[in-house]
Amino acid sequence: MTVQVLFFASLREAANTRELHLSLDSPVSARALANQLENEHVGLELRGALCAINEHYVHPDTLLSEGDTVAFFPPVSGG
Amino acid sequence: MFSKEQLDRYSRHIILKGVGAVGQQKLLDAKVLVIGAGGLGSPLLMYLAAAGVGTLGIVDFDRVDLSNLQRQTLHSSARIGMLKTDSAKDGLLAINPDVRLELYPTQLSSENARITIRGYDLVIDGSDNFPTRYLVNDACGLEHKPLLYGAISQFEGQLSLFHAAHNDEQAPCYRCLFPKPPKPGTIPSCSEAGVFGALPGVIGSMMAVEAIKYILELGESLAGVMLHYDALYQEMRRIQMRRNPTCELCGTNPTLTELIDYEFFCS
Repeated sequence: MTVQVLFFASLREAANTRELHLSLDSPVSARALANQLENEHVGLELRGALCAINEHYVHPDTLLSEGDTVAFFPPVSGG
Repeated sequence: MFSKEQLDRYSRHIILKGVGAVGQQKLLDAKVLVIGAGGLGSPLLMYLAAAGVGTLGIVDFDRVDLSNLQRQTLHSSARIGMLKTDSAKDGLLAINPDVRLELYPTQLSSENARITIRGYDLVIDGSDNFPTRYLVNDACGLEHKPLLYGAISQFEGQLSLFHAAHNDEQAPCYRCLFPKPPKPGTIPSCSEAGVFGALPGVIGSMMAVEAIKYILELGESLAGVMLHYDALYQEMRRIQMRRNPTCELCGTNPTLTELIDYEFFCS
């Protein structure tokens, strides 16, 4: 299946992109995808980031479906 | 009863359907606490004061620095070195002398946070560090206060309304989304990573919109939604959230029943 991955804020720098299109073997959870992305991008740390699938906040164990958009938002503190 | 000056000053709200004289009186009666008189606090406080929010509390222990003025539009070159609370007072009373200001030039801590927020109807977090954000979130949860949250970094910002009633239940809180503060050094602060000057103008103004809507019970609030704004691509996303049943503060079995001071590793 194919999924779109979006990175925000400091994660963009670490991933060196704002958007990826990936082909994955299903079933795969959001957490497994995050682990795969961390392995492929040195310095990318997705632990503690908010994960949303199709603009809905999800538990990391949620399984992905064909065509999903998975977004990772790091916490930010500036004001 | 409005004075003649108030009728004039607030006339554009008083004639606006949805606000009116009743709404304007609600604003005049409202008590709002703003944590941080910096980038987000500047537009936020200016619009709340201009709208006639009757009592504005301001918490900030910092002083105005030259490097603040690229984005903190409530302050000015002539007020460098002043306490931000005093500089904010000068700026806000110049906009609207009708507003009552309560200034707290102190550091929020586990000792004073709950008592400081207790007298307010709405708490707004425009602080600039994680320890304060967790402290304010926890204090609002324990005191059952709605918390309007906004945060920025570089070219992106986010806002939401935490703890507030939402579809007959409580909205999620900051800890539902981000259970633990990040490890020191993992997330860059504004002073380390920079921040786009007009960005807090956008997010702080949207926070003012949400605060006034909340007081007036207008439209739909951001309870249960995190609004994310990306200035570089002019994109907005609404992330639908839900309460985390394992949240230490507002989950099914809360374990966080008193405030914790996190080390100030970032500012």
